[in-house]
Amino acid sequence: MFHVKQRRIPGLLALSVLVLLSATACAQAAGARGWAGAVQENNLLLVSPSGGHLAAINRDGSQAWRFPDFWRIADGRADNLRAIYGEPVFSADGRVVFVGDYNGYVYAFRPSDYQEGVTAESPPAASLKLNGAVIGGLALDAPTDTLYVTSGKRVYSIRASEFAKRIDDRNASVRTAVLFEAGDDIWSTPVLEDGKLLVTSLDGGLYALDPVTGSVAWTFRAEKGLASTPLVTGSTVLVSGFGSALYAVDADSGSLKWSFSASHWIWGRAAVDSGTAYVADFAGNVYAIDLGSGSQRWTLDVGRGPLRASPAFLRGTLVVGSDDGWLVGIDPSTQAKRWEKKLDASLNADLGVAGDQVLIAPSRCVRPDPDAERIYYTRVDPVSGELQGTEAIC
Amino acid sequence: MELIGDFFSTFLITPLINLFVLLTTLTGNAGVAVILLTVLIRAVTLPLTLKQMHQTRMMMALAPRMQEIQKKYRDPRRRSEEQMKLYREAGVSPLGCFSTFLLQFPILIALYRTFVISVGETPESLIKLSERLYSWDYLRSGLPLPADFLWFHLGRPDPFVLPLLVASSTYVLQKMSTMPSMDERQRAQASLMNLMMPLFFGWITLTLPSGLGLYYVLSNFIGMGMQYAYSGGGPFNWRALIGLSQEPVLPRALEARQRRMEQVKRLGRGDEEPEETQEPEEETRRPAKVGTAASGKRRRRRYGRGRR
Repeated sequence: MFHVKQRRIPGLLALSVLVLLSATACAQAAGARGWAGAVQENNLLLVSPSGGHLAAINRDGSQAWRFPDFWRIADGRADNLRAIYGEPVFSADGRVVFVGDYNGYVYAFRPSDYQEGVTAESPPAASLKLNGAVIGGLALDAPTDTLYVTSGKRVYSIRASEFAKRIDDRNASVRTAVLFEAGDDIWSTPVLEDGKLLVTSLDGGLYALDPVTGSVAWTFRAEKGLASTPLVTGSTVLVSGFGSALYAVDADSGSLKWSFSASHWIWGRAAVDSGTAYVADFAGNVYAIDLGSGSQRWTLDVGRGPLRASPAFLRGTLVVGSDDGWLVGIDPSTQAKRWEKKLDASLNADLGVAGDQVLIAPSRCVRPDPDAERIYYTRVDPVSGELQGTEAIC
Repeated sequence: MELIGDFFSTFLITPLINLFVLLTTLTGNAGVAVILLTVLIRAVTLPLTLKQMHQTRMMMALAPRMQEIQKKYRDPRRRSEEQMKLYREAGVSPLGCFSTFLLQFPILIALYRTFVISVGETPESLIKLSERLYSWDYLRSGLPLPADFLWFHLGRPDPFVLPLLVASSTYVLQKMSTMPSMDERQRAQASLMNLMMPLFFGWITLTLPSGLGLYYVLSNFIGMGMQYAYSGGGPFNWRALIGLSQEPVLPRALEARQRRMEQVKRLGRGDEEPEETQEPEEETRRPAKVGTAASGKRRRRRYGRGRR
């Protein structure tokens, strides 16, 4: 029927539009990318510059190593890292790095096994398959040699030294136990505090667990899912999530001290300074809340897109990062912006602090201007807003 | 490209996402929301579906006359003119058969995006969802959406049952809506298509969110019901369904086709018998009226008078 010429053009046009639509749909699909925050350890800065990759940057900005690129993972099925959300942790002696991925595996590898230009073949890395996606970070309790990992709805305890041995012996047994199973997925990092393991879940629960047996000491239940990593300050645990509220919970009993309602989700952890908790919400607002009473001290509409990342407070400045790629420094005394920078990358990774600099981990390398080399920004000066980065990992 | 994407996103994907979130929040179950969404989409596209069913039947009825024209005219231009003339006289658009498909395709893409974002497993999908929601607090109150329904997670592909259901329902729907061709070569092609299309759809369901698979299965079931009603009901030829017979799956559809063929023949004799062709020609230009039981009865009465 398409041999009739007049009919051919609209048909082809319609087909072209459909192909374009398909391409657009696939390009915009919200796949896992991850937003691991930057970690400073042993003169190395660990960042995840692209989905499923972990890069270590030396003090001089050069790349020390890149995982899994430079390593050989014995289990072939584990060789497809997709997205790293939680911060990696180092073993007590600083020789082994543990990291979890969205693909449901945790990995252990020794950075010292790889030396640029010296290592002839890829050094081995160990992997361990868990039940579901690892979205939260890992927590290591050095005295008990236990690595706590959240995967899907479960909290696992893994014997860290045995897992490290698997790097050299892929058949080495690793004692792994399911400590606890929540009613829904766990997207936060477990926090070990005062003999309790604190975990939040999308089922709305904040659970205080016995780190050895996994028995529940107390539970606080919010109306909606909790997604933030618990923050312990004094005898108070601060948690937040999809109920658009910040909850202050008694660390000993699990009873609610106060709650503060924001206008949208509060996904990131609070930043605390001098009796004030600072939180950022998805509507782009920043709130300063009195830690004792839960009352609002001030609020600022940053107006730069959803604020998922935990803010950082350093040198009298509150720094927030937005999904739209804005980095903003706020002066709490005037409740006004001190500076703001636009990066062409999302800033959903929690902001960290190292020395007198705020650590940032954008979703990718960016070009400061069209003719410049691509750069991965890693630090910002909280007072001036001056950015530092490296081209070595781009 | 960006302009098309933005337009598509603003006027189709975002409204669908908000509607899905609203239905899920209201019912408390994302699976029930998919069912309601399917019924709504089928209701909105009903006129086009009816038109397409009518046009497909007309095209089938015109096939013998098209073959005659192809044999009669060697000159491609003349042949094309005659074919267009026949289409015009029968009130048929050659692209009419594809109208539902053309509409269905953007809807499927939009639904794919809807499920990936609304019940997607990644934390990023929740950020995307928050950016898409209209500024009505109620919509946000149900998030994150409960994505489990029956045995599957609506945001993840189902590895076995849904692909099987998609493939089998697509197969049955195709068998119900296609008529056995008189031409051997065309029949062989149709048989191949009847197998390849369901297999293809079943295969891609393996990689798509289960929400989309559920929509497709339900949509096929609704399509089967409509096809059955449009063909006038009657017995169901199970042997033809599994390929043991060359008869149509819905025997009454054959009667309808024969009526159409007679109608087309009358169209061809238009110059000689102007009085007889008047009524059926007018009838064919009202495709939207075809489809209900009442209109079917009216149509049969009219043709009866025409023949008398």
